[in-house]
Amino acid sequence: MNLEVILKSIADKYSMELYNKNWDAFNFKNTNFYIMRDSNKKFFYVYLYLEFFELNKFIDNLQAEIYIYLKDYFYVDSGLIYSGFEKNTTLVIFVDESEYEVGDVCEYIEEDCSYFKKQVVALSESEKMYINSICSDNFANTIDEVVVNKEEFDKFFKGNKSISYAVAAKFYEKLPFLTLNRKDSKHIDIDNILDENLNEHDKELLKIILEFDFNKEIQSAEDFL
Amino acid sequence: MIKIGRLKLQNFKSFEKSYEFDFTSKGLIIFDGPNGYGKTTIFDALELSLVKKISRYIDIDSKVKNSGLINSCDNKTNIFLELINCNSTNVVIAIDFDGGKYNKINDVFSNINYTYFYNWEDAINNKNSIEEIPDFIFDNKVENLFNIFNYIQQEETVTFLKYDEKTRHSKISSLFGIKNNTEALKKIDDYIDLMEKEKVKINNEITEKEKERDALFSGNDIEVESIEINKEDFDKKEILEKINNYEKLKLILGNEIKYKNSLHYYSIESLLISGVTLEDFFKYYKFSLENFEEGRKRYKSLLNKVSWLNELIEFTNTSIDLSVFLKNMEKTDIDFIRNIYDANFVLINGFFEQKSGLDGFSGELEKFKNDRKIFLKSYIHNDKAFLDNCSCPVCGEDYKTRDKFNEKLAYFEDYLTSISSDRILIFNKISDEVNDKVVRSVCDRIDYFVKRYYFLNDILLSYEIYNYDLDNLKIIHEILYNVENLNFNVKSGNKTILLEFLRTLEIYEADIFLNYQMALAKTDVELVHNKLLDGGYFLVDEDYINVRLSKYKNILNTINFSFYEDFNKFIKSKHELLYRLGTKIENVRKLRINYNKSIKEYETNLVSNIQIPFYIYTSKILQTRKNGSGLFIKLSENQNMNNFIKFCASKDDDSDAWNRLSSGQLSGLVIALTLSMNKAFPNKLKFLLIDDPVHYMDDINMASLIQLLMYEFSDYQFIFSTHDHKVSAYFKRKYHDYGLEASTFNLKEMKLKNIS
Repeated sequence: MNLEVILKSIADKYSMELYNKNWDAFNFKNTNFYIMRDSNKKFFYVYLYLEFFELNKFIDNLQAEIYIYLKDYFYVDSGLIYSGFEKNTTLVIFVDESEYEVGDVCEYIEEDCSYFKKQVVALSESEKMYINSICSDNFANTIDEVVVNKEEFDKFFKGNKSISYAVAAKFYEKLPFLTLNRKDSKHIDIDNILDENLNEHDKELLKIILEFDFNKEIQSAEDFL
Repeated sequence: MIKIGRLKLQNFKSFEKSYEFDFTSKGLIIFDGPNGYGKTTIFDALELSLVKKISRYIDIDSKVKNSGLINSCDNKTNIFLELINCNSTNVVIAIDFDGGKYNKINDVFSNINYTYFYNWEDAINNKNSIEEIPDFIFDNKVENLFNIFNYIQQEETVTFLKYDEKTRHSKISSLFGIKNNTEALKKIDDYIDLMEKEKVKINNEITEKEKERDALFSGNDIEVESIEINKEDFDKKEILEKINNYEKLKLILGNEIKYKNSLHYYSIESLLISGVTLEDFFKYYKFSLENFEEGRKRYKSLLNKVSWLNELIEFTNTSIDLSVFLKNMEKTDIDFIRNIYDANFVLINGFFEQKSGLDGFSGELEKFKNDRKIFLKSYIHNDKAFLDNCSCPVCGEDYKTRDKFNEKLAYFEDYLTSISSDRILIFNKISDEVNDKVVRSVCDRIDYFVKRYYFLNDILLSYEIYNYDLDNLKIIHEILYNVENLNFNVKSGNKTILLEFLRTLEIYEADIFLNYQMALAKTDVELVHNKLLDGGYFLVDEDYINVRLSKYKNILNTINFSFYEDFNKFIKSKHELLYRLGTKIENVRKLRINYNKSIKEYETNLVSNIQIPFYIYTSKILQTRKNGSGLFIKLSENQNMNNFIKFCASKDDDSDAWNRLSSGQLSGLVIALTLSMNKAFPNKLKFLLIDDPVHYMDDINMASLIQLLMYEFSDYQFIFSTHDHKVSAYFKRKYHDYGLEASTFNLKEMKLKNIS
């Protein structure tokens, strides 16, 4: 999965800056970081790809190291000087869930309030395959179209049968700045529907019922006739 | 793109003095401060201005006084609300009302004045008002839609938890803007229910009348005769009563044992009530129940069989014809008399022999004496020879004088008498022996027996059970035996317990007894010595009763024929009513189907449009929700079901996530729903009021929410309230960092400042 291409596509679509940083000191299999910064230069999204077994390390103390590294990077190396960066930084961790059930660990990480707001994007083998299949400059537009596609959503709703929707939904769920791009619908007034579905006789009857005094004691059936 | 500009409050609820807020160009406005400083009041003011109501006052008791709505009764209340478009005034809504005039809050609401102006200054100075809000700002639908698109009340999140599932789902309909419609649907259902109940009522009436009609001739096994009568002359009730009573008598005749049982209980009860204890009754006279009965029987038998002996009761003072006595003894079948007779047979035989001999000799002698007297009398008075010389007419001897003749006659007379006395002496002796050995013995036994048993007669008569036979008394004995088994000590004479017991027994028979008594009272039959007799004292039997039943049933049938048509007319009219009602119910059911279909159509359309944003937004806000990303809105697939909307983790998940969500997550869900509505159906009003959105949310969900609002709804104006100043500071900073303007108002500080 080429994370750089995907993130580049997203950064372009949302007018954000993307930085790639390799930190050899980290004992990760993949030592590449991606840092995304919004147009106001005050919100940061840091992306990294971890193996499943690396999640535990992350929980223990890795995020502290990442914090220190990023702090140095933002203040010193990158020149992205911003005093409250940690408060406005979201750490997005991609992780492979093909072999292991990562749900609990992801939840644990996301609920952890220390250092950063964290999002874990766990991807299955089929999801990664799908991502690879649409991995291009147009990735952001593709998931943007998928996420508002009703047919794909229905398939997804009916049993997660749409891999494409599952992928798009995950990106939209985990990346806060992704916004839904959908055509406006006209809100149909229920009165219009009622007007169409009820015939004159129904309407007359409805008026009688709505005006009927339910607290009144019924004298005879004639009260209804 | 209409947003809120300025808001000015004066004497509205907790805002006693004049307060002015400017929201112009602000993306986020947060009111913070402790409880009771008027955060929700700000929302009330906005809602009242925009849709002329305050939702949380809608279901309020109409008797509630207006003190909650205004701060002081002396001042008029004013609210000014500016609506802006691109930072320029679109319209200013001015509200004023005089709370001091009205006691009831509902009266205040119906007397609020609304005035509209094109600019703020005109509104404040109350000049150049316009008639109404121009349509291009919002149309009359805003009232229905405001609470779906623009206002999330605190109650809509938190208090949902309090409701049961059904109520909660009906409340959810308010989030969909169909609260009025679901209420209307419920009214339709209630209306159908009422009609169905009325239908059941009519059906019951018909059934009852049909039963009454059919009962006119049912159970009548007697062939109906046509009788010409005027029904006015007869009281049907009386006839029915007579028939009923004769039927009862018939029943009693067929249940004689039960009736008698009831009499037993009655008799024992009388016995007890009369003050005699059972101990007295039995022990004193040393009789068991069986002995008692046996003795009584013997006594009765004795009296019947030896009525001739009654005279002997006073034997010692009277003379007796021994022959008759002994002859009767010989004929009797009373054992002890027979035994005496047999034991003295020789004596008795001797008696009769002597009597017979005595009777023969004495007879002849008497005859001779009589004949002699007659002869002599005739001779002495009529014979000339005798008169001349006194010669005996029998032997011819001449006695010369009358004296000598008479002397001779006396001699013969004495001689004859002496012969007779010897025989009598012998007879008298044997008679005395019979008297001693037989008659006195018999009389002694009778005397003993009479003395011994005579009291029983009194006892039986006293206690009204004289006519009981042994079987009946056995029943009484059995009852008493059972009483003893129930730990009732008869000897103790505890009448109370026994009476209670008897009353328990009576329950089984009392109805028959009472029916009997009542039936008797209503017929011309009466009970005489336990026999049913009519007025003419003919014995009443089943035939007797049948004849009368037949008579009265014939009369009744004739009356009933005239009622039959009346019943039919009534039943027919009810059937017609039923048909009309049935048609009406069918029509209302069709209406209900169409109405429900419309709601479903609306919901389906709505859900179809908001489903995607709702799923994405819930997945963003409810980030820490266990086991899940976003939520799906699931509508009931059953068209007949009332709008059951569920929030599920998947289509196949039937459990409502609502039941599993925390209050913080519920807040997130409601916010996500409203945001989805705004996303799917954007309208002119680009502001959203959320009363205390993050009160129950954890930090992660709160951070997610603010991210969603900033990125997805950056063109919206949000007005929040929170009691937590840190939260408002956090939100404000986030908005600033994102490049949007935000303001916070600490109401406590503002009010304190205003006071100082």
